[in-house]
Amino acid sequence: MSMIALHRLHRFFGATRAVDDVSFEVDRGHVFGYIGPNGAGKTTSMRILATLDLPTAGDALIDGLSVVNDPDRVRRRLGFMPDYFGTYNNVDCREYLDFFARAYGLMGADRNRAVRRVMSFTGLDVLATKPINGLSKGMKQRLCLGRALVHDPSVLVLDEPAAGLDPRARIELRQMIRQLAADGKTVLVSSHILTELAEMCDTVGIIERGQLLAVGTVEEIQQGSSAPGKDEPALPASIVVIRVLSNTEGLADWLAKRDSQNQVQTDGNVVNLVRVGDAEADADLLRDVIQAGFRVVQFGSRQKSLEHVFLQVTKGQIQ
Amino acid sequence: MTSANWPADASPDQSPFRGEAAKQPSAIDRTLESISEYLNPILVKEGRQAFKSFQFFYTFLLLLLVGWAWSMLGVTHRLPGIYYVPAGPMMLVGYFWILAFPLLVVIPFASFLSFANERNDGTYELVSITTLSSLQIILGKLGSSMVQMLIYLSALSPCLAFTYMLRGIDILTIFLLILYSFLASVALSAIALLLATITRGGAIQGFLMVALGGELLFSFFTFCAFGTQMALTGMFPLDQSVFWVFQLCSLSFFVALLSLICLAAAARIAPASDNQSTRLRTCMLVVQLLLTGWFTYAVFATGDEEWLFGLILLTTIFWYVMGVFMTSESPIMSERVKRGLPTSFLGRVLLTWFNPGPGNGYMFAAGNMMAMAIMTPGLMLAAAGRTGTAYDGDIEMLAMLSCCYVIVYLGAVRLIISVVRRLTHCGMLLGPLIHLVWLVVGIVAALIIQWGFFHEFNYSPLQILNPFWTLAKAAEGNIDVYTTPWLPGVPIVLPVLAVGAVALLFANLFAVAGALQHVHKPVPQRVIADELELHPIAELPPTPTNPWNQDVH
Repeated sequence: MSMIALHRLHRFFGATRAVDDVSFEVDRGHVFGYIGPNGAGKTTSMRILATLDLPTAGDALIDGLSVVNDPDRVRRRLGFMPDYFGTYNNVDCREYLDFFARAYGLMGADRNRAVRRVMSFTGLDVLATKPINGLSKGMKQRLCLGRALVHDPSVLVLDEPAAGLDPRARIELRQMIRQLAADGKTVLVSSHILTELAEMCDTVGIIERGQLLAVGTVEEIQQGSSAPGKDEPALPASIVVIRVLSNTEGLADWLAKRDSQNQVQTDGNVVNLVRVGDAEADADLLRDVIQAGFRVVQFGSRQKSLEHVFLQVTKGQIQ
Repeated sequence: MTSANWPADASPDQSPFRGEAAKQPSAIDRTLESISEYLNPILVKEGRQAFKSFQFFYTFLLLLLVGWAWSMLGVTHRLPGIYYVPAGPMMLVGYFWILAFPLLVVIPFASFLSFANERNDGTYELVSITTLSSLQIILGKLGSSMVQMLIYLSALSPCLAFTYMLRGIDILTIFLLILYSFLASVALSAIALLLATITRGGAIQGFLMVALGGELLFSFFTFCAFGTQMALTGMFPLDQSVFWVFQLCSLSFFVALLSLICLAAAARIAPASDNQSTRLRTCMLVVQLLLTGWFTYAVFATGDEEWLFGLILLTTIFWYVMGVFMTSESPIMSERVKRGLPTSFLGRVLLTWFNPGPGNGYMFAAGNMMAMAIMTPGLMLAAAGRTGTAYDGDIEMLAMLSCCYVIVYLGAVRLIISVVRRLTHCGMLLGPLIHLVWLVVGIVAALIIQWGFFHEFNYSPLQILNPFWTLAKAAEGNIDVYTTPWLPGVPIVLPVLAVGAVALLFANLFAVAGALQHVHKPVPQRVIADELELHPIAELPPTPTNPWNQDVH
């Protein structure tokens, strides 16, 4: 049974279709990256999963329990970290975590252990008595992650957890999330920093204007076989980089004529070719280029990055 | 980076609040910690916050300073007579005003701001997705207000004791005045919390804040005037049993209405799929039972059936106001609510009206009004038989007219709301607004028709849409002068209203037939499994099946 399942989820605000027929599932211990431009519907879907909003149609299940009909049961097994801090005045880190541990029904030794555990895990134990207002942004993010973890939930929904963090804090956060997944927790995380998502996520979904455009493992997404409802590869698989000594434009024309499906770009002495093909096709291409008389200095092929895929799949439309 | 893996190795059970330096907590610390386990988490958090806040610090400091200043001023002013003449009442009045301000203004307003700010800052959302119920959240907020009240009271308690030593006032009067202040503060804080749940941010919240501030100041001055009167004149008839019966009656209504306010506030913030109505309707029924019970007691205790006018008036106002909110409820019944619907035929007949939904709510209000209209003549007959007084037909007339008005006004607007819902969202703000507009339109239309077109300034049956004037006339016993030739002795408004009430009742009954068709839905297997996981059924030892295997176990 999937730990997170969205079934034909819809959420409309008047004429705006914030979430429009979105379905996907995330298995236990997996990290699912939710990618999309601003206003794509990521936060709305996450708020529905966190039982803070209701879908117009469809349902979302956490560990098989409906967020619509059984929100109290869902809340026991869900940790939600929104894209805002949600902290109190006149409270220190320890009191803040202690309050949420109490609010989740933890008592006595269990609560003490839970608070100590999250303070230790998030590295906040040295700041236990520091007022929250005096914390840096990174530390507040850690505190909010600690709050989401304090009742040891099996599912974590993290909305832009790395926003505004410095590189070190981002790396640490990424490691924390991988650690949590390794421990069996299911994580749904949204972010604009796609390189990081590619490194930490097992599965990725790309959403724009409320619609899920692609969903699958990072490899599937990169190879373009992940458009929902499509069996054929929808996206080119790789970028071939050819550096020549001269006649870059000639090579570009030659490549464009060789295969009309190729997308060719030139950059100085370098030609970038976006196309579908495996290693054998790369070898054939190199042979043909040399035989055509071009003086090749460098030839390489790499998979498209998640950023390339994101830019290709989405149109930058907002609603 | 993280200093521990997840889950961390078994940390000691020691509280994270104990530092290395204090490894052996005192007995008081241990006791307080164990008590706090059973307290509402919101109360604990709010307590920690409040005692560190500037608002609490300055209010407490000001209270002490002003109390001290009044002690000095009052005693100096009454010297040297204070040694011979009782000065307790005068001093108590001063302390009462000093105490009433934080209790009746500062604390309720802080309750409103506390909840409103939580909603605006998003912290409320984080609390709402914990396992705390919406009622626990409201009671936690109210509890923290009550703790502050007790602290302010304790700060002034030496001064209050001092007034007793100055003579002229008995300890019971001092106690009652403090108790009234405390209860008034609790009630105002609950109302403030209810207002804070109505909306989030924006102009409406600003308007509510200003309205609440005005209301609190009004309550403060009214209450202080009452307290001053009571302290100076000593008008509490403490030696009369009727006084204590009245206290008991007031306390019972206070508890019931406070519960209703708290439940309403909790319903406002509960998840949409929750059954927010049944508890509220049960509470409304309790209020109605209290009304009936206490007024019946009053009729029989005094032999005066005039009390029944009070019963009719309060019942009408109560069910109209409750009906306004019940008919504004969402008509969608969640799957979760359907799991709790009664399954037996008798259960469906008797308990359907407690289910959520505007149709059920309308029928609930109408049913209670009809019960009142039927019961009142019976009560009057019983009272007349016991006391020998004559049967008063005006009471019966008033009861019937009131019942018809509630059915007509609520029924008409319920139908309007059902039409409006097809065009736009109609929630707990728009629904009551439509009711208000409809009531005002009814009254104004009746007045314009009579005054503008007929130039008649005395009461006439044209005021049939004006419940206030018509019911006032009925209470005076002057309404039956406007009769019809075919129904001698019956005022014309009664058959017209009765026909309207029956028509609207049936129109609504037809419209709510869909709501009545909701049937019990079985609980999903996944939920049953989760419930068993949470509350496993204890494995009972096998019971002996005959006297010979007793020793087996």
